[in-house]
Amino acid sequence: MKHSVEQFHEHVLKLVPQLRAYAVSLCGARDTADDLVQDTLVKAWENQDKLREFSKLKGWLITILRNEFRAQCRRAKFVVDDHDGHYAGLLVAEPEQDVQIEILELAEVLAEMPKEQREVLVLVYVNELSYEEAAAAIGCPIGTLKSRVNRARSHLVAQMNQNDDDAASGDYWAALTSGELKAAVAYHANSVLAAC
Amino acid sequence: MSEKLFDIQSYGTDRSMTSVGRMDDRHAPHMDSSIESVIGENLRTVFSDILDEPVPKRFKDLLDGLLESSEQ
Repeated sequence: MKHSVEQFHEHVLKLVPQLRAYAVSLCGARDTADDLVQDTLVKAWENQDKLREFSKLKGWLITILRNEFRAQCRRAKFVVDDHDGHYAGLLVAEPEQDVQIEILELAEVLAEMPKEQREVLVLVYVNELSYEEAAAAIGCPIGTLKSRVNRARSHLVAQMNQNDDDAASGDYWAALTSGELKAAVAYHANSVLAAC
Repeated sequence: MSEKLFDIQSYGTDRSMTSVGRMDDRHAPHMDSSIESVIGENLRTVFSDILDEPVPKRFKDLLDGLLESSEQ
């Protein structure tokens, strides 16, 4: 059944935070990201009759946003800086200190990783797209997407461990990769506690 | 929401211990893996201020305007 304009309006509105998060991960700066979201919403609205499956709305919007970003980059010859570390500035300042330090660290690792890897992590874990949807948004084969996610995930965990001053931090990664989940979690929980 | 990046409390006792290599990779967010869910949760926390913030007026006005003009 074809969606109504009202349905489209309602669901797109609900997905705006998802679009903003993805846009920030692409642009690095919030104001640029919001301009990109605005352009995406207009474009999506104008093309809503082209949306075939309403259940795929999120992936469809994200695809439009990504295409719009690329088009704007080409027009403006805008160079996207992979290493600007803007992400740390995106975080709220208030939460409990111990959580904040860890999350800041994660935000930095995310900001410094190759942009292709960062993008798939955001699409899959933050926007919670399926592998199929994420591959469609990027326009790559699903196998490529999967291996990119795996690489990105390994990179993320390895970097987080490298940041850990504890000499035994390798134990965590070893436990993680060997599937000894409880040992890995216990290790990391201890190192987090020790850091407080 | 997890209180710590790798919070031991966020691991349910009923969850199976699933190694990275055996994960069902069809839908990453739904994998039967605690590591997966912790990574996801933490990455969402990085963006939580944006994800949890109400939709800014700017976007609501824009969409309301588009809806109004399409109904005329």
